Amino acid sequence: MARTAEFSINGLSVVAELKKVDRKKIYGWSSIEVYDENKSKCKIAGLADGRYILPSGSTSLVTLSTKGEVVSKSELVGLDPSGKPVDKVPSVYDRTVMLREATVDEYLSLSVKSVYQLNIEEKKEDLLKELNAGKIFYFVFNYREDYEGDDAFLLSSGNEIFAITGMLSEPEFVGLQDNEQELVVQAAEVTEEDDLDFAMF
Amino acid sequence: MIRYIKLANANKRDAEITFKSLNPKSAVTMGFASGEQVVNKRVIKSTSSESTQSLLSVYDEKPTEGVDFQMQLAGRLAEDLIHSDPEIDLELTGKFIDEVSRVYINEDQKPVFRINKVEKIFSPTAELKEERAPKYNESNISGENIVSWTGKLMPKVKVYNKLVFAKKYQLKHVNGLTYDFLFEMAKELADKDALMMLAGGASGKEPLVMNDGGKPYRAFLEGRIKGDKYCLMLHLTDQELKPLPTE
Repeated sequence: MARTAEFSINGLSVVAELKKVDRKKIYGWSSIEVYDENKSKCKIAGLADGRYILPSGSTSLVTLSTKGEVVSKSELVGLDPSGKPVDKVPSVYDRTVMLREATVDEYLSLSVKSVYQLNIEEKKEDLLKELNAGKIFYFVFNYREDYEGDDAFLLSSGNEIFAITGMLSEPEFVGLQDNEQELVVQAAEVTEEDDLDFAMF
Repeated sequence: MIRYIKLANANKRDAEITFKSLNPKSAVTMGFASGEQVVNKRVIKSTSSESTQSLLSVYDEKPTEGVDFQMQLAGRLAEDLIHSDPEIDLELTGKFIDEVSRVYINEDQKPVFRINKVEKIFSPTAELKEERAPKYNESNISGENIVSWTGKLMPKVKVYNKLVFAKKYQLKHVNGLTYDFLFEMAKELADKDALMMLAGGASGKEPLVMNDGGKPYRAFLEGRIKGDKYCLMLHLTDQELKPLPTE
C-alpha cells in the first residue's frame, strides 16, 4: 500500500491513502502546439537584452544576503511577518492529523489548490457517517515538512471522502453609511441538478 | 489596478462595480534566523549558444568507422567540457536579468517569426480527440457584456460538496447606489444561506471569462452580512467534486 496518513477526531481514528484528483483525469485537457513554416515544432524561450536566447532551463534563481553574497537555501529558515523564526509543520504522513469541526462558510473561504481522494480500508463508514451528516473537518496539510502548512478540509461527496487543500482567504466586510433600499430581488430556490458542461473546451 | 465587472440582478438591473482577487499570500518568508531578510534574483546560467545542441553543431568531424557518430561527437564534447568549459560564457553566466521577452524558437534554437498554432484536445485517457485552431476566450464580464443572475439558487449546505471552488474574488461598490445594489444582493443570499449561479454572454448562460485569453469558469455568488457591512464573494469553478474514474 502507498503511504498513509492517520486522521483523528473525537476518538475516531482512520488511516487513509491520499490520491490526488487531477482534473485532467476527469475531463481531459487541451494543449497548444506551435509550428514554424516548415512544420517544425517550436518551443517557447526567453529573450534577454534583445539578443540572448534563453531556452527552458537557461536561468535560475539565486538568493542573496543584504551584503549581496550568495546564500545557500540550507542557511535559511522560515520567518513570520515580524521577522521571528517559525517552527516547521510536519508532513501529514509523519504525525496523527488532529481534525476539528469547521463551518461551511469557513470552507467556502478556501482558495483551492489541490483535491485528494481518500482511500480508507477500515472505519470508512464511521467517518463517512459524520461527513454525510454535513460535517466538515479542518486540518493543516503538508505533503512534506515545511515552514508553512496549507489549510485543508475533509468532506464527503456521495460515498467518497475528499481532502481539499489550499489557503483560506480573508474577505472583508465593506460598508457605506449612506444606504438606500432600492432593489428587492426574488429568486427561486433551485435544487434539481442541471447538466452543466464542466469540460468547457 | 482597479478591475471592473458589470453585474445584473434578477430584475436585470445592472451596475459596474469593482472586484479584486482573494488569492491569499503566504505569511512565511525565508530569511536568516537573526531575522535578516534575503532577496531572490534571476540569473543567466547559459544561452542557446551554449546548449548541447549548439556545442555539438560546431564540430566538423567525419564519422569514424565502427563508432556510432552521435557517440563520437558526444565523446568529443565531453572532452571539451572537461578541458575548455565551452558551456560557460564568462560574460553572461551569472548575469542578473529582470525582464525577459518571450519568443518561439525552432529545433535549431533560432527565433521563429511566423508560426502556426494547433490546439489538441485529449480525453481523460490521453487519447487525441480533436485538433483545431486555438480557441481564444475573450473576457465577458465588462464593457458590452453583463454578468447575470441565472436564478439558480443553490443552498450552501447542498453545493459545498458538489463543486471545487478554485478561485475567489471579492466584489465592491463604487458609490452609494452600488453599495445599496450589492448590499441587497449580499443580504438576500445571506438570508437564504445560498449561492447564486452567475453567467455571461449573449445567451446569459455562458461560463465567465475574467480576462482576455483566460479560462472559462462557472461562477457562484455568495453574500455575507455583518451589521450594515456586506461581503460578496464570487466563487469560480471548473471542476465537480467527484472521484477519479475507475480504470
